[in-house]
Amino acid sequence: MPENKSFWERLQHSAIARNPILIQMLSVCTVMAAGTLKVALLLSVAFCAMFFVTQTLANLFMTRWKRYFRAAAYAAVGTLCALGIMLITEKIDPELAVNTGVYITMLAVSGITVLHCEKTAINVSFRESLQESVVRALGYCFVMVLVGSLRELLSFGALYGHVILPDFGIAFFAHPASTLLMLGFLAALLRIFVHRYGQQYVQEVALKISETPVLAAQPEPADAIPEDNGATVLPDDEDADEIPRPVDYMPLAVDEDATASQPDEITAQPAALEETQQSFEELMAELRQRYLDE
Amino acid sequence: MSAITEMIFIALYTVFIQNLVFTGGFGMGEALRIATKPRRFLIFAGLLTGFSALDTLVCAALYTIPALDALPTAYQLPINACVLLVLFLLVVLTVTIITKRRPMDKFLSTIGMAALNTLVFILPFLGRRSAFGLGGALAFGFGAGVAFLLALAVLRLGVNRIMESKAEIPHAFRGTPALFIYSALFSLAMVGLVGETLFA
Repeated sequence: MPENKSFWERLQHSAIARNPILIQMLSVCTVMAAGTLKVALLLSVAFCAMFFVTQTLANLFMTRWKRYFRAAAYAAVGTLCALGIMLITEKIDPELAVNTGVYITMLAVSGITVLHCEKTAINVSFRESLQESVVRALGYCFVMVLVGSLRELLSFGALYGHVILPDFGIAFFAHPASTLLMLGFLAALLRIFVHRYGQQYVQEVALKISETPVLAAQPEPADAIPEDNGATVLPDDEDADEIPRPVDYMPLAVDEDATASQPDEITAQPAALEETQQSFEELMAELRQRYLDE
Repeated sequence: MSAITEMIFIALYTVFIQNLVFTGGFGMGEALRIATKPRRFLIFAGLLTGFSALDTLVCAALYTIPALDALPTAYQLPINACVLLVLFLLVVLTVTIITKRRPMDKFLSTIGMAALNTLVFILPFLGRRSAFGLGGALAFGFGAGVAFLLALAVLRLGVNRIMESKAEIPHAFRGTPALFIYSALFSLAMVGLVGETLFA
């Protein structure tokens, strides 16, 4: 995400078009735990706390660490935050703490945290990183709260413990498997919304999680495919609707061999690679001609 | 029942009856993402199985110490995390020392993904709740890893099928929506296998 983007543009890109749950399929298991609005709110708050603390520490102190040490550090920081949150929850609502303790634990190794820290936090300024983290957290929390609300409403006819639809309840929606179904339909709605109102983000919704260098100063490999792939994807292009290929990354974000980790089946990909190679060869030929002629 | 038989029973139960990925959603995100990467399939699943078995075994061994066993659940979290992080760093250092080559960075990334994921992280908690002994914890961890491999295989088959029949899928449902719905249907199938009632 380039710098100097407004907050609204970041929101459109990172929270909506590249929603961490619906498009990037990160932290799906914690969303499956949100059976009620109360649990969803608790997990959202817990996630935000862990996320902001980890990304701040990564941005300020971990930019030059080895990648695997950073991965361990993210888990360690997340664990300490989870411990604090669980102790606070036990004091406020012991029953809720018993039911959600396992899921708060899982947030310590959330893929969203690692993705953001490896892709953004260690590469940009603190302000940029914080803005990006805010929009990503909003994208996650929105889906989490929505799913939790829908599940509680449909399975118990209640919202935050208050009965709204008496004598109504479908036991199916109390089961975690129903979350996947909901996420599927929500993802479809998101795709319809983007295709209709956000044409510039059609490619983002259809695809990929791009790789990123670990350190800002680290040069990308010569054969790395540029993030936009040079491929032109039309809004109604069938090739844009391939299953996103989350390549080598989570929780350790970087794969320096970008070529090997690109998927084979997406039709736009080989064309983009050929384009990159052709343009490089053309450039070399041009340079040779220019300097040899001179 | 002998110890070996019990371990086999626990492992089979964890793989087929109480598949943590499909029935509980643990590691589902990782499974969905890795299922689209055929090259890393077996290596990742093998590493995850190793980490899950080791992690649950070591944690179960630690909790035989009365002082640790008496700790509240919240305080067991950092202990489990420390065990996992130590295991992860030991494996990374071992690989780094043995290979001494930069190209192993990709393999180290795979190790990180296999070790630091929600399924492996949560197994010691679930093992303690089930009051497994050392043998049971080992079988439970191993079974969870194999269950993850099974989930990967099933999801990979689904990915292939979705890719092949892309033209038949409505435009809005192509990509992640189809994958989510496929996972949901398979989860429901696993839940039905266990015998749970979904529509009471």
